[in-house]
Amino acid sequence: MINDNLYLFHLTHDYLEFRFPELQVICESIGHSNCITSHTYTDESPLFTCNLPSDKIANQIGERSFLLKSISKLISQGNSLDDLIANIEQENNQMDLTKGDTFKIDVYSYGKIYSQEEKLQKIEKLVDALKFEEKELKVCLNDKLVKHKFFYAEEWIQSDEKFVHEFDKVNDGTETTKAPSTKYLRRCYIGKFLCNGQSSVVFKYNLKDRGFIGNTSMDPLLSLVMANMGNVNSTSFVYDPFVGTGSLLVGAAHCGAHVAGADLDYNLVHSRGLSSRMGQKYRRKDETIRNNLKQYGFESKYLDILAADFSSKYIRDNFKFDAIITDPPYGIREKAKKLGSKKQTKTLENNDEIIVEDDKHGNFVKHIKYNLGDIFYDLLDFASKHLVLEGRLVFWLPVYMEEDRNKLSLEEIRDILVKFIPKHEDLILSSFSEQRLTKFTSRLLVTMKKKTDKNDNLTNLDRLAINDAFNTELHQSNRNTDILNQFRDKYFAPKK
Amino acid sequence: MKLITHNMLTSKILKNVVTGYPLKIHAVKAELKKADFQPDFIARMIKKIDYKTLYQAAETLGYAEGMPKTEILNEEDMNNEETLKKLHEVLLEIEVIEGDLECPETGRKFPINNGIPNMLVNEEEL
Repeated sequence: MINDNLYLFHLTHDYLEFRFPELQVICESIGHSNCITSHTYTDESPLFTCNLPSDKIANQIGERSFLLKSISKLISQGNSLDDLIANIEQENNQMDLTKGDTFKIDVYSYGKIYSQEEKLQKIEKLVDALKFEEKELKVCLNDKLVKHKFFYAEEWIQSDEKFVHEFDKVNDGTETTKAPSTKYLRRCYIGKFLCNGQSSVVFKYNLKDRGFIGNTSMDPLLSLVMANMGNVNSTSFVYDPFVGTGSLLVGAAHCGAHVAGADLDYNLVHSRGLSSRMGQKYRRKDETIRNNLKQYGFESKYLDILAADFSSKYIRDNFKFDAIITDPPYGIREKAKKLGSKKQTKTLENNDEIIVEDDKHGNFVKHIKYNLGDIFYDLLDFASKHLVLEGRLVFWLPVYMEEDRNKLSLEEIRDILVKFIPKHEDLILSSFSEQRLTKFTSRLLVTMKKKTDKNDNLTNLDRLAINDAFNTELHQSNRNTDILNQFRDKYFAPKK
Repeated sequence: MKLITHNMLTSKILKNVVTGYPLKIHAVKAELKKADFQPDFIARMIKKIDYKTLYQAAETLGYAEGMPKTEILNEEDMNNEETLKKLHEVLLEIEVIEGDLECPETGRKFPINNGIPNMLVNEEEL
């Protein structure tokens, strides 16, 4: 028997690692933190079913998730189309059909391509089984005019049990080519379409059409997902201390937040210097973060951009943001640097670069290389000071993992990755997702929540909440920067 | 630079500066740029700002008329639509385009060009 409140989620099949954490954050923000459970979810498939308290909750999720295509109310499921048909309950009140209504059935198959002919055969079978002709329903193929939209989906999965990551297959010469594994039909679903997700929003923010971009402008979809991870809404004040071209602010502004940021690069914030765009040497005067936001209709959300050095205290201690969303420089494509003093520059090793820049007023500003580990610990300190309680810090962390992934389970990999994440006594880790970059390097999207203020004592309730391995080690959280500092050395080390 | 930003900036970066707050505003050019009024954001923001500093800043720029003359806003002001609208204007619509911010302790000036405050300092000042 089908549960009345079972819903079929159709996700995008991109950014797999980010899908589930995004849904969880959204559920938490609408006050139903436990409604999405992972027992039917896998990264292998874009389809999963889940119990939700009501259609209203499903609609709220649909309004916010950028990695979601649609939600349908499940009518039946099975191991094959015939099985699914046998499971249809004729007294299904969910369908709410009246004589003469129009309908449409969309067929979607993951992992297999069907011809139009084959799709039609399936539709005919379903129309028979659902007795649409008896109920005198008429077909209407216009998405906008049709009254009842149904969604039929098949899930074809590799029979090979171990999920091998694409990068391992491509980059690792030692890996023997696996025989093409056969796919099997794991599950079929039919549901009544309820709402769309926000997966198509991203097309509006294509970097090619954006006025001002740089070498490290964030993928528009990820900047939207980051805003969700930051639990951003229309009352939020979001800050990016390493703002660059402001691509993360675009995502936050889309979610309704007012945004501000700072960057050390005086030329960047004043739209001077060389352009990152092909065929264009210098940046135009109008290539600013403000104009990027204006282009999308968010000028009212723009607060300010500053020229400021993250390592200096230019914000008063008790000023609070609702979310800090940022992508600190790792020193790969953009240099990691801060202002230096004579004392510091003297102690620098020979290979540490000192960048001297002329600011507008003829002053020379010395930049010294910013230790990668220190950047992240400074960022956590900054967040603990400048976040409201329950406010979130969302950032990218570069990771160099040498272990052979093929010999490890997903849990073991996560256990290794979590060790890279810096800790702070006022912040707890909410989630992290990994994006692979090369065979050994990847970056983690880390979300932390501010749980306490330094001066407050932990309440017992908070102590209970802080129970996983990561958060119980907090008391030994002296700066362990070595693991992070290795990243650049390993990244640039000559390959054997 | 909007006054919401002025409200959070300090010159504590400088050597020997204790609080460095609030920074004095010297405006050569200021403008009023319309922004959409969002009462729930303003209501949330005014709990985070230092009201006294905001009032003084608005007064310096000649926009204080219509703002409640108190050190701290009371509940009533926070729920009054007219007050929120005025605070919206002061926080988000007034922009200092050219001018500078002065450290109250050392007199060091941080220039504002094209509406962007420059909080970068030289190595000798750190």
